[in-house]
Amino acid sequence: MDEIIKEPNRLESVSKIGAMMIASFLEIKEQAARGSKVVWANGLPAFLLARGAGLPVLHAEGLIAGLAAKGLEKPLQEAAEEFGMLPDCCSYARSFIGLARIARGDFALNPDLDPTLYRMPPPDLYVNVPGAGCGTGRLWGDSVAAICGVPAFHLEPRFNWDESDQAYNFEDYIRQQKQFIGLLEEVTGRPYDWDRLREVMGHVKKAVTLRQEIMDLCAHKPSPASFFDMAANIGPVCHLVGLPGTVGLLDDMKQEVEQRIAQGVGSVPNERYRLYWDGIMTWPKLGVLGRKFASLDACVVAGAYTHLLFMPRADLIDPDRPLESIAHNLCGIGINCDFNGQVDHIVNLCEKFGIDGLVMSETQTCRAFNSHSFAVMDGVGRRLGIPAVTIGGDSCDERFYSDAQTDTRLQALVETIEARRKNRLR
Amino acid sequence: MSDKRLERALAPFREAAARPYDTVKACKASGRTQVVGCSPMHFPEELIHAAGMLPVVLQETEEPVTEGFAHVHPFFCGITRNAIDLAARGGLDFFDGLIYSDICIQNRNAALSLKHILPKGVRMALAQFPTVLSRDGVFEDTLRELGKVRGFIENLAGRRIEDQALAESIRLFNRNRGLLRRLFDLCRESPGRLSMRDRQIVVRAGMVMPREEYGRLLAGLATELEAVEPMTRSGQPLFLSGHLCQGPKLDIVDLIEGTGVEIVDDDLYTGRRYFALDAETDGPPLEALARRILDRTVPVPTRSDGEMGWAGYLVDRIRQSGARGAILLIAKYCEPHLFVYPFMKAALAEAGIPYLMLETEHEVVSLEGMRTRLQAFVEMLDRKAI
Repeated sequence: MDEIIKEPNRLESVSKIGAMMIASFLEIKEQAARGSKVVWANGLPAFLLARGAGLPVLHAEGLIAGLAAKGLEKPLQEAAEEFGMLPDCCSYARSFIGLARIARGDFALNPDLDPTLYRMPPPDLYVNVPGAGCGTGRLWGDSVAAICGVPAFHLEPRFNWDESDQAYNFEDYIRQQKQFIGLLEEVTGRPYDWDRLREVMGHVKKAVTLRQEIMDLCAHKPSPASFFDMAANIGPVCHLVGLPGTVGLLDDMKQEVEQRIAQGVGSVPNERYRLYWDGIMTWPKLGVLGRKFASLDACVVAGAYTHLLFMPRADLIDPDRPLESIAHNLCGIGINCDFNGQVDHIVNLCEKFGIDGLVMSETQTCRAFNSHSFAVMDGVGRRLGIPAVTIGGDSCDERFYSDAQTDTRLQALVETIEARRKNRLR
Repeated sequence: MSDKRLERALAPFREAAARPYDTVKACKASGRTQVVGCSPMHFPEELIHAAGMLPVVLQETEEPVTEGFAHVHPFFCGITRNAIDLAARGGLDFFDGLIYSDICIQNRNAALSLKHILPKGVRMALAQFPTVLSRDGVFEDTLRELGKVRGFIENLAGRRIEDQALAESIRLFNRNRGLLRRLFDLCRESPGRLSMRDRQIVVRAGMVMPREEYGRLLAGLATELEAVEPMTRSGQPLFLSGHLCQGPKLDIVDLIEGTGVEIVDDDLYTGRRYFALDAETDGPPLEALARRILDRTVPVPTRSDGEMGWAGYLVDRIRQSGARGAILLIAKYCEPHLFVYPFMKAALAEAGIPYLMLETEHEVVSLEGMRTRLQAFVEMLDRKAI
């Protein structure tokens, strides 16, 4: 790009999350060393339910995204590819399968690497909780379970093909959670601690509500924080939920955001365009993309991954009804609806945050997050009259990212927004 | 049996498989029936047949994907891209209904795209059969889903599906499946009787033709083939595995057979998988269909069975077939297959079975590279045999 490279104003409070995440993973290692059984899981609710059983949970996406954001994901993918995994498979799954092989001692890590986060305690149980009942999560779980010789449990929301499905799908998900709790009782050999689960759900409600308030404050112009801050801020409502310091961190973040609003400070120094991001964050390019958008005076204000997942309905969390609260937040979310439903959710986001354009990031190895791209571009575009572009990318495999392509398309997007503004003024 | 008689017996299958949707349109144009498509794998076609309609298993056609790219990314599997492309060009408008099954995320996404693209006249449903076979209540869930789909079909047909009609459809489909097994058993005994290309054609034709007519033609073909004396083996016996929900391109089948090998058996979707299991004929027919759907005899990675069962199953099947090696055909971007592949690789290596993995695409880019790899593999087998 010809533009001058500009740095975004990252939230200072966000910078503390990385250290907290690492500490939480090290704590799992310590718990395992003390003889605790360990659960490995993808997806969110497995945490909450397993924490009620007093079991530490290694969250796949949390660990892998954290490593990828630091450019440290490659050894995991090499371990999976040596096993025969092809790069077209979900890169989260591939990386976690690599982690399983390393944990089992089936893959020799390069001795020059710091093994701290690559060598995790092997699981006693695997839980797959795909956000949209994605079948790839099942394959991922069965693969890790087979490598590690442990059982896998699949907690999968059924898809809402139309409105008539919703009531049954909700009940079905509660039934599945009860079956999972039965399995946790078998694994721990003790009755499930419902009081602890209610306590955990109380923490979740607090964290999710705070995070929601922070995101809502970004409706302000200029936006005090960006999608990239919010992507890094998933940990506190996920892996860090209920741990000491998490609510305090979110409180600090909210204060920082409020302070920025009071001082008129934006996440992007000269915010001229407000954008929506679709798809999972391209974690290995978190910093690169943050600078790229800032250089275009564009702030990515909202995204489906940050705003429509990870317990998006704080208002439906009732700590005294934990299973129903989880079901509400899993079964009815945008990605689990047909295209019309997804367009509705995204139109609402765009209106709320004053979005000028859509950036549809192709998370190339995640088919769950890509089916709706064109329907959203078309549907949201028709209803709100805003342009959209696709850019290449992937959650944790940077081979699918192209810098030059991204530059060209983002440039085209802001020029289109600019041209439409001029046309409106005429 | 003379070659001419064999050619005559095969001609209707070849015609139907070469232009599958033309065959369906011709049936519809004759005013005989409504036509209802279903996505591949577990869907019980008998339900559509019992409602007096023609069940059509969606086929991957040869057209390159063009207009479909306005609706689907290039990194989705071939059959998904092809179906969406056909829909975008009006090529599926002739269906009265389409029923997709939630077999994998790409298939579900195809259903969502088609729901978005197809005209309202093509009514759509998504069958969500259980994907975790070890879960409590899995039989009841299957029965419930079948009941729901039965309601959708009845609504489409404007008439009830009586149990008696469903039982008769099950018997007809069982007969056809039995005939296909007989035919494939004959080929295992002597692969020269019918090339794998023709075996593929015969199976695929049965996914689109009126099933009564298909059964009559199939019975005729099986009888003709039975009259053929077993031939002396001329090439390395090989097992063909893969392609979970679509047939391999016939060009690729030709390429494999062109190396002089004999394909003795397979576990392709458009092969043994399609007709491996019958439904029971006693008791309530819907329950029989549910039991067939849940049968674990043939492992399918799109459903969790608590283990990566396909790898061990494949080794057993290869050994039973007498094959000296296997070719694994994997459709590019097919995650259910790609996740099992490492386990297959390990199981085949442990069993000492040589194999060659070939990744295939909707658009056949170059056969030459594949030919070289195949020739090298066959030469390796030949040396091993010596």
